[in-house]
Amino acid sequence: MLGEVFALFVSFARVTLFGFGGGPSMIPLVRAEVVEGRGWLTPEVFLDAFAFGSALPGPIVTKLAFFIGHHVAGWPGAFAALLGASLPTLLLMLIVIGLLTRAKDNKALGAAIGGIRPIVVALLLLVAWDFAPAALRVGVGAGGLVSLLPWVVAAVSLVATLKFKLHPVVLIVAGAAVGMLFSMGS
Amino acid sequence: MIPLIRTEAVDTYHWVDEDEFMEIYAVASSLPGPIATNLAGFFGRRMAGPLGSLVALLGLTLPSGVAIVALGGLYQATKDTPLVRDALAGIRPVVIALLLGVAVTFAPRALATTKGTIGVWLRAAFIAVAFLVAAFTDVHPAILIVAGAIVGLAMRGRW
Repeated sequence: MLGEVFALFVSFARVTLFGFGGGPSMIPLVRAEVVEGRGWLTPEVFLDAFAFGSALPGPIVTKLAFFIGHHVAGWPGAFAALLGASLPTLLLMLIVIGLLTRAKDNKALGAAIGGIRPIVVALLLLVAWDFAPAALRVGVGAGGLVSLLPWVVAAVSLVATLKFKLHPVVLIVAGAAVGMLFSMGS
Repeated sequence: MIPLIRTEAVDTYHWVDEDEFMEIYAVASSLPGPIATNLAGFFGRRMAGPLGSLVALLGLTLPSGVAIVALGGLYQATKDTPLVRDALAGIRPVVIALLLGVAVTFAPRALATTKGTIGVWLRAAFIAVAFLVAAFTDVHPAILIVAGAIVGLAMRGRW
């Protein structure tokens, strides 16, 4: 128990220290830690947690930290994961803020971040890519027109989120309704 | 969320002025970690020391954290019932769209360049190479992020 609480802190500290570019850049890192690294969550449960997290307001990484921490080791786990996700970079910020605002020349840091951002996009695309076969139920179910339904839901949601800026909670509730209406899980 | 924090810090409570907020934001966003928690912790400490920092952090994260734990409990208890299985099967394609949406929204910053079309193509090619490496090898994402920083430094001013 205590070992897992500590492991949660360390895992989320690793995530946050490599998470350049704010919350979303950390989603692939969280997955690497908790699904592939520690095996705390199956890929499906991780993505479901991401779905709930997107439906709720607040920072995405700390929501995932609460969910995963609680899942692994109850409330102590949740708080260990939260502190792991936030304390290391907060301390870093408190230490360097004087230096960075005084020395206006952040060009090297800016150049490094310019190289990290394309990586973040690639990693985010990879999370979607890895999960796509399961989410789109490739090779599962009855076949025929019904098997196109997940693709339609994904395409409509993509347009709705990018073009019409609909909040994720609307899309998730709509997705759940469509899933129940057409018995997509069977 | 950042504009909401700005409103609280600048307009409502006058902790800092607009210029100082932008400076602090610039630092928070160039460091790793969630920007919102970094800002909350920073303002908390500035106003009320280490305890203020912790309180601000909890104020920011606890409400949605408790909500997701509650939802998670409901999920664990019901996820194998037929109705919830159907609902989840409808939600998962939405998640694919949300993830792609995050990537697409982030992409302009990843493609931002001072070198015109060539710069954009170089950066797009870099995204493609990174994707292939990540998809077909077992390299840890953190290694790729460090590699990206090195490439960024090496390509400084060239892309």
